[in-house]
Amino acid sequence: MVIVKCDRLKKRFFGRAGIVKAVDDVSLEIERAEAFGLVGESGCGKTTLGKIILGVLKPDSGNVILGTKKMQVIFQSSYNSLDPKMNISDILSEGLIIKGTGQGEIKRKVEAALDLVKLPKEALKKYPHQFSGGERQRIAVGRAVLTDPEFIVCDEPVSSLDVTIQLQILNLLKEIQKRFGITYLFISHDLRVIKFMCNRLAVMRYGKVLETGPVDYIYSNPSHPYTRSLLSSHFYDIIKNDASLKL
Amino acid sequence: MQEFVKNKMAVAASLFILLILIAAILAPVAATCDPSATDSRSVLTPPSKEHILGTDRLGRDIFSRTVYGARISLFIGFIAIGMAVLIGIFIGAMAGYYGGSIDTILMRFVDTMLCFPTIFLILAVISLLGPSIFNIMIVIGATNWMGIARLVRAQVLTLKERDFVAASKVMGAKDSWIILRHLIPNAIGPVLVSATLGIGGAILVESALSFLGIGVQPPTPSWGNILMDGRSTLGVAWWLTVFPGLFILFTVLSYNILGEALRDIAEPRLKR
Repeated sequence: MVIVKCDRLKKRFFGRAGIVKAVDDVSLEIERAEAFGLVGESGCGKTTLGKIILGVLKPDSGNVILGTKKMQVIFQSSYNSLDPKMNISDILSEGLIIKGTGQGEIKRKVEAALDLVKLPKEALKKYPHQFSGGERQRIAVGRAVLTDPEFIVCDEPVSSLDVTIQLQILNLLKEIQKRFGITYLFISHDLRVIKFMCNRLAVMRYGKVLETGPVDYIYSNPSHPYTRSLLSSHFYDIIKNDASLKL
Repeated sequence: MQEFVKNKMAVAASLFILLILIAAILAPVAATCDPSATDSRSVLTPPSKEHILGTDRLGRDIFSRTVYGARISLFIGFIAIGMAVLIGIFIGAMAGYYGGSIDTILMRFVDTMLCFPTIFLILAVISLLGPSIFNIMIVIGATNWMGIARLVRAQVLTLKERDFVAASKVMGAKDSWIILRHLIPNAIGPVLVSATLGIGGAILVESALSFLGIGVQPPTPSWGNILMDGRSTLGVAWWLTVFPGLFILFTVLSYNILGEALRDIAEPRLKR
């Protein structure tokens, strides 16, 4: 069952260097409960596509058909995605308050989410700057899960973290997916992360999707020359030996 | 906070402001005499034990009048700037958040307001509406919000692109929620600095208006009209103008020092 269907999306930006086609005629389908990867170098339009799907940006043309209204997002920079003037309790309960959830249920859910992301109760009264990058990202994950979403856009959620913390967050995301059956759109430039997290992926360059398919298939039979060059780049050399495949 | 304590000028300024505030609030206790009680036996007496800042030509105690005057002057300063802050935040947030033609219209309005010579605008409005404490507050507030509006707009322009605003939108937040819960709390720091600096200015304007006779009307004492009272007897009774003048000077100076100290903390880049 398809949960997100993008149909011929286009989005241009007018910058100093002229018109940038951030998303150029992109069509793709994301199946329910899968983890769909979106790979590409920085500036290829991955984030723009994610924001269009979330409804934060409006496409110039084309449309997004959503099978759910319960969406959430986890951004790359936890520093930017958590309001510095709100304490953790306010940050976590924001989505529930917006939905008009009752006090008692909010309290119960916030505590459960805190437990899920393995943070102590004392964290509730603190502010984002009092946490490390990894802890902040766990808070962002907690906030995303709290509203019982069916679909989460993870936009480079581990790119600004060091490798051991990356693994913690990725395992947490996997555990959450297994437990709640959430669909992920997983945006990353890191092929190892995509391999670890996703079952299907799309490769993006200059706003266009070059190829789409199962992760295992594309990693072993890349059809597009760009995908081949991505896979043969320095980063993929590392994942070719088995030890680092497990991250 | 530590940085603030290290700044001795700022600490002294805050203590002075606090002192004046307490004196103003507790005016009935702090004043040694009734501020409007005339005494024909002690007219224009220089500072003495009985009247520590002397008396005016009606024999009223200058210290008591100054303390009660602080009430009026500070009250006008606070309320006027409070109004300016509210207007400035509203206009600035609207312009910054919605952008486009709303931004253009509001900001050209700000530019227009800034083109008026403020003091003449105030004079014109007051002579039209008549002098009263209420009108003075309104008119000072209505002519001091433009800087704050620009400040808030600039803050909102950068804040609205931050990911926590996007996250809030994804969760279904309305514009009002985003503006009130995310944008304004994050933009408020520089606004408070500007407001602190503005209070000094508002007190000065009030004093100037009262001095010109179109501000606070006698017998209600304000720092400006105590000064004006003393003007005619400046040659024989210096204490009538010097003491209230010093209060205005030190209060305005304190607010400016405090405002600058707060700015140094809020925006270290601008530090001298």
